[in-house]
Amino acid sequence: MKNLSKFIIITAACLLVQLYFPWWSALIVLAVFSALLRISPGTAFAFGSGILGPMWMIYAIFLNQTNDGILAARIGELFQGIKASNLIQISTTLATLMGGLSAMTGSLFMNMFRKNQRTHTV
Amino acid sequence: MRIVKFLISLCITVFLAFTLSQPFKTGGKTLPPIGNFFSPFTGFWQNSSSSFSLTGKKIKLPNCKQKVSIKMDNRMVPHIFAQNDHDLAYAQGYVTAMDRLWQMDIATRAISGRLSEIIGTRTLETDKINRRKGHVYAAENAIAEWKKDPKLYSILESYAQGINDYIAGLQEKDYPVEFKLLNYKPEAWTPLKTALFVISMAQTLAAHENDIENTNALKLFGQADYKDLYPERDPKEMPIIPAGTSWDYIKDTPALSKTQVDSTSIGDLFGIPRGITDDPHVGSNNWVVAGSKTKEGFPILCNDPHLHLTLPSIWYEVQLNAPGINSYGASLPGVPGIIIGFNDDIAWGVTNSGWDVLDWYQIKWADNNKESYILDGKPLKVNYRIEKIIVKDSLSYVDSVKYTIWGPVVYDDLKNPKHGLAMRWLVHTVHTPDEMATFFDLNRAHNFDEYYSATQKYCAPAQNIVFASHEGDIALRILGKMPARKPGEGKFIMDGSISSNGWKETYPNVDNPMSKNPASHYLCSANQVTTAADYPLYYEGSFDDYRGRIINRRLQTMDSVQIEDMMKMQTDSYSILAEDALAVMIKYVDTLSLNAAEKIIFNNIRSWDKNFKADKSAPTQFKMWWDLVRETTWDEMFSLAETTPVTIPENWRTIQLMDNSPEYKYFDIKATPAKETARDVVNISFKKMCTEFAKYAANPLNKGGLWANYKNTTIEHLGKIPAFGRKDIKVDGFKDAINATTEYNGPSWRMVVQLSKPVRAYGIYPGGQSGNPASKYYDNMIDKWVNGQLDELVFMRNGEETDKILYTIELTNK
Repeated sequence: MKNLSKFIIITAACLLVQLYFPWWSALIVLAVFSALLRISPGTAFAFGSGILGPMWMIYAIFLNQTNDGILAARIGELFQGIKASNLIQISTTLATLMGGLSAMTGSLFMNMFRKNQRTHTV
Repeated sequence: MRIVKFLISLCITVFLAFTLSQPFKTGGKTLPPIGNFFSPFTGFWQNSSSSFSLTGKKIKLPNCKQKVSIKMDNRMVPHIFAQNDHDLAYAQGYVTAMDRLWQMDIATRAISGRLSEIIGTRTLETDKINRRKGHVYAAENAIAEWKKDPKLYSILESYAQGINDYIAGLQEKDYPVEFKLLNYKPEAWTPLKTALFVISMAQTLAAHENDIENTNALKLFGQADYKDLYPERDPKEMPIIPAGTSWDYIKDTPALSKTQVDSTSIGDLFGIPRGITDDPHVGSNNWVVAGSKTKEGFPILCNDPHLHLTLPSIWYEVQLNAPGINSYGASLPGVPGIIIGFNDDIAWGVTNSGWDVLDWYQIKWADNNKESYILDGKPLKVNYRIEKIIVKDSLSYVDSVKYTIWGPVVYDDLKNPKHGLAMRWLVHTVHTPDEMATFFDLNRAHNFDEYYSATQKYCAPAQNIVFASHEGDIALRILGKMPARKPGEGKFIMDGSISSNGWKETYPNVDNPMSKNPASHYLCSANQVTTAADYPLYYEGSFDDYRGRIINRRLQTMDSVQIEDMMKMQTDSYSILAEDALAVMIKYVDTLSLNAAEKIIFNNIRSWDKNFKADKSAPTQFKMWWDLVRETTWDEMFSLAETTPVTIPENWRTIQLMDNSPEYKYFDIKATPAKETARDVVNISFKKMCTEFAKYAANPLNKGGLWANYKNTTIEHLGKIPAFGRKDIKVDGFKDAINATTEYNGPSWRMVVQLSKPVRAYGIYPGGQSGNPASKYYDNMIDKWVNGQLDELVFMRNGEETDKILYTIELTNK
């Protein structure tokens, strides 16, 4: 339950900042929350990628189907003829990787100030 | 240890995040920042949902004075209902930006030599030429004049405000996808940009000349041959203003010297600098049929301007309604009002006039630093205009362009350091305060008198403006300020050290050629020569020889004309060039010498109906053959193209010489010892064509040499992004046919209007209203255009609801 509420809070914050700020604002949110909520590095990586990856994927899929993939087909042609699904993969991969890395960084930052060596698991 | 782990993780994350937020260079190309571009929150995915959703919207805006309703019809044409002129221009700016913001930006950037700012060194040469030609100088001169008419100028400001209020409401994620790809932001619109757009049209339409080529030809071939090779008038031509028109109305013509300009004083041959002259191959058709010749008794007006076909299209359809105006038609994104269109009472359309308004003057420098030049025996200092070109990812480039009394020195002749070429372009300086009133008034005109007084104010680029009214009048005027020239002036590079070598004033607009309600009951223009030889004012230029003849031929024989006949005629691909050329070529072919394969081709051409149909091979064979005949005949000239380009004699003259003087010395092929005649040229070319055609047709990609494949019509994206354009368009047409579709040019807007009450109007263009490549309205009209279909246009009277309206956008004051 605790994990779920953390997940929901971070997801909401990530969504919110990306509506108004550049894409990397989500990375800061993930790092800050991972630190503040004292999530362990491994879990933080999973959280970060598990939040940002699917978020970008679902949103990209949604936007793509609003115009029947017309634009993705054209953009794909621009990138050496790749398909819309490849473009969605690129977006998803970027978000998964960067989400995970930034959340882990936040967690490792907080780790430095922890007294005992054993990381607090969630 | 924990610090190390943290630092490593931090470094990797920050490095990647930073890298993904920077433009990415690969193999000479610059990709947009990958993170920004692929984020569905800010990147290209956002453009999937078109900038306006397909539902009604209420938008509060700071500069909208009263409520404006914009009704979007099922072709995404906005019908703007405003309560005053300010709001009308404001809303037109707003809605045009909504659909075409990037196009407006790139068009004005290109003409003003600012592409390198966003693209880099790749466009530097193009920018340099555009700066040297003084396009911004021309636009600034226009603005200085336009400001003197505050009422009209305020319309330009309202239009700019509308665009800027639209931009102000955008977040980065809303920018058109091209901005994201090129990684830059839209900038504020100004009336100067409207002027730049007008200048860019002038650059396309009124910058055509052959001065350098003519000068070279005169030097190389001598006066006698020059006259023989390049006669001014095609005896078969049918001028725009029908022969026999009375010129009694020409009264206050400036007193002109009848002395010929001395065209032999220029001592040099000129290698042509790349990019300094333009040959855009643009043209247009318009015609009007009087009610006496139509089935329903109302005049029918047609227009199809042929321009470079692009996506987004050069045209944007719009209906403008406010007190005193209810007008519909094609507008230019960047210019308020409607350029080609109709209202409840009148319709009008334009084609380009070929009058030469651009001259080159050879400058004689008075000093080695080229800071002053000789004029009438005395040195005169040049004025400098400093042009700073900002280049992305590189150093800025600064050019001190020298301005003489003629205009900017565009070209420094490095081989001949004493000389430079200055460009005198009417469009640099011709502007008047009420220039922009032409279309403002025309949109609001109700009858011939109002059309006449509106068109009186027009400056440039010169147009043939056709007119029809519900009252039954038809008319055609050649409009624009035209240089009052001495005979012979303007054809060749002129000596820039003699001030009397330049025209001093323009002809008064009232003297411009006009025809109203002629005996023929129709009028037409297709870029052909303006008048018969008896027109008292001298002009010269480049004129089309074939489309005018076919339109005249078709209209002469028609009666009880209906809208459908006119639509069909607009896609007529019959060519009189093919008819005239083949009449001679076929008769010269030595049929006994043909082998079996050649006979098949010969018979194919002989039985061809001269229609340039997409699915026929004869047009390809004819075009290949004719090109070879020209190249073989004028081998003396084609061989010089790289070093000293000369004018190639016109097609009609080539055919005339082939027919009447087959022994003419130029038919001799220089590379052979024998002395060839026109007959030999035709036969040699035919055999060569057969070989070339067989080779071409054998390639499976070329589909047996069908015309559509050979012509290869392509509608390019304005930024030349292939994925955003459309290629391999299988469409009929030929440069010299009414349907003048070529590889990159063609009918950019087809319109047919019957002046009944209510008016019935049809139109189409090869593109779509949306400039967003993600929208289904981006290129939705292309297929219909290919098939020669026109859409019935939704012309609303007072904002009434119709089932054609999909949704309404309401603009109100904030």
